[in-house]
Amino acid sequence: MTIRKSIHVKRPIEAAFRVFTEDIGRWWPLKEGYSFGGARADQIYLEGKEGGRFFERFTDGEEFVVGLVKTYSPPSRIVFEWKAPDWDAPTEVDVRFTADGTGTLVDLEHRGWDRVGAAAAKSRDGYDGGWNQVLARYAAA
Amino acid sequence: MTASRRSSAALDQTFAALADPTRRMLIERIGRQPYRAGDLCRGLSISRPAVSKHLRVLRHAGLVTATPQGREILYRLSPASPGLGQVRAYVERVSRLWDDALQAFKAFAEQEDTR
Repeated sequence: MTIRKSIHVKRPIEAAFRVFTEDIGRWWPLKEGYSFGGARADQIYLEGKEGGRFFERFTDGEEFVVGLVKTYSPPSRIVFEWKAPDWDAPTEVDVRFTADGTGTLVDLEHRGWDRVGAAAAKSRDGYDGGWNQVLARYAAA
Repeated sequence: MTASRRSSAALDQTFAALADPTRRMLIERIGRQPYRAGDLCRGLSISRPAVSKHLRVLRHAGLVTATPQGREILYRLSPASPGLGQVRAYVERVSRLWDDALQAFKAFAEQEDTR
């Protein structure tokens, strides 16, 4: 179970990388339900350094760290963690940028889902309630 | 063997069981509804003995349970398993999230060319 996506962007690699990381708050579809804060969705940040945080700041000022940046190699690659509040183990998002003519090919891999299931199974009580809560935070199916 | 080593061995077994695509496919089927071994083979290009072997691995990893029913054995998702169905549903959602997010990223990146 690994999510793989590719998209071509008509921007040079440096710009594509910068927009993806530094400007994530300007394009991430927070208001379309893609926030851990639900209706409290407000801002999202991806800090450009190893050990930096990928986090949301909700309307009430509360912050939720989705994960830490594992690899930061501008303009070709960023790897960051993605962990819902009740998981023991994070999943991992690996984004690679490749110059392609005047544009950039962006290949994204979101992996580590087996780990989530196994870790969640260790504390099944928390898992059942917690998981549903996380699901409920997302917009309609 | 300590309790934590036992539990880590059990996790290893779970990962190993899930590492095989045929077994993942079987467990997805069983996750949707209980299955008899014979019905699980239907429509698949693998032999019944091969399916039985995969089911044995899944059972040893605690992912499925086997209950005798008449002359057949009924397989169901183990209640203590990681709940693959739910994991799968969540992964589907995140997959759609990335479709939407990457489209939004592309649209924004291409219309923005000064900073």
